[in-house]
Amino acid sequence: MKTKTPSRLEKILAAGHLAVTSECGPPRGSDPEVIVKKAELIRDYVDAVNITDNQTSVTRMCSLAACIRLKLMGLDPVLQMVTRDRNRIALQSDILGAASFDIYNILCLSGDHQSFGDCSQGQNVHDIDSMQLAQTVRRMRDEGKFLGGDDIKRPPRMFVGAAANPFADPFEIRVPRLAKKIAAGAEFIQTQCIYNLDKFEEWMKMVVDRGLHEKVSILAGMTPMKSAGMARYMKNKVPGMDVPDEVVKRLADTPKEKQSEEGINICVEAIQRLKEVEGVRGFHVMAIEWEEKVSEIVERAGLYPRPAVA
Amino acid sequence: MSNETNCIWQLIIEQLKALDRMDDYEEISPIKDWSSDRAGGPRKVVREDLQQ
Repeated sequence: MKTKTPSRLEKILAAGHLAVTSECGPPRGSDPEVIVKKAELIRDYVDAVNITDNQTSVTRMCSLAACIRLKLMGLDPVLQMVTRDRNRIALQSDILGAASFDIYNILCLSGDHQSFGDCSQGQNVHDIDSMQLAQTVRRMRDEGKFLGGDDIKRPPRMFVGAAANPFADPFEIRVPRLAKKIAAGAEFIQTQCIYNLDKFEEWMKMVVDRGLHEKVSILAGMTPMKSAGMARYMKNKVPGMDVPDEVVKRLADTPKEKQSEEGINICVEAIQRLKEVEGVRGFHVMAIEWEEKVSEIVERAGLYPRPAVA
Repeated sequence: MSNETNCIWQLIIEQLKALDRMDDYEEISPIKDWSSDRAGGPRKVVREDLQQ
């Protein structure tokens, strides 16, 4: 299959391999070593690494600077970009800045509301939304044009991604929303963390029934639980998260000192089951502040070694 | 954001269903022109009907 960008992630998917991505959250400070250390832990186990953009609206080092660090280390970064904090001038400008360092992947998001973070008195921007950001990148790449209509010298070459949450309400727009993101230009999708495998499979079936899996590469989002407490927190406090009771119970029935190990077991079993689901093209392993476990998860799930691509 | 705030997407979907216009949901909206909003600076309206 022909690729449109030099992205390693795109090449892996085009070659028909199951892709593996992971993510690193930048530090709440300016120490570059935090990102470098996290990246060293996972670099051989993944095809690309997302850098979050002020996730949960808590101010951190910018995604772009952290992506440049990864790029200089020889990794394939995925620049996460939210429309909450930047207008169309800043978005296009940052895309060009990233492209100047040959960052070849972007994940277009709207971002959590600022009331969840450390700047609840701040203003949000939302000049454009996540779908329109995907449209913007595709226009810049495919037509070589700014939104204002002028030509771009050396347009960005980015593989364009978006997020999908198969579990959020209202359920009836879950699949139409994915279709809309594809129409807007999304080429890969990274999903919300999946714990309710039955419901995810139900969503995937609807995706396949509409043929959407042939138009976009869906990477299933996986986050291992560290404890029963984390499972309860995710279930009760995190919006749009679907954690079945049996997952909470399985962790709660495990002795405390073994719970993190059991969390990894649950994650590995989920990947093994979802590998067989039609339309699943890979996995996005988000081990939140637990990057040292990514290697074990990827290895035990049978996704290691990562294939080489030219 | 708050348990007291209705989910806007829920309201939009209920209204689209009531109007039998769910297909409209998948239409892509063009990027918005904000120049007639605050972003455009002070606005001027000429009420020709009130001019003498």
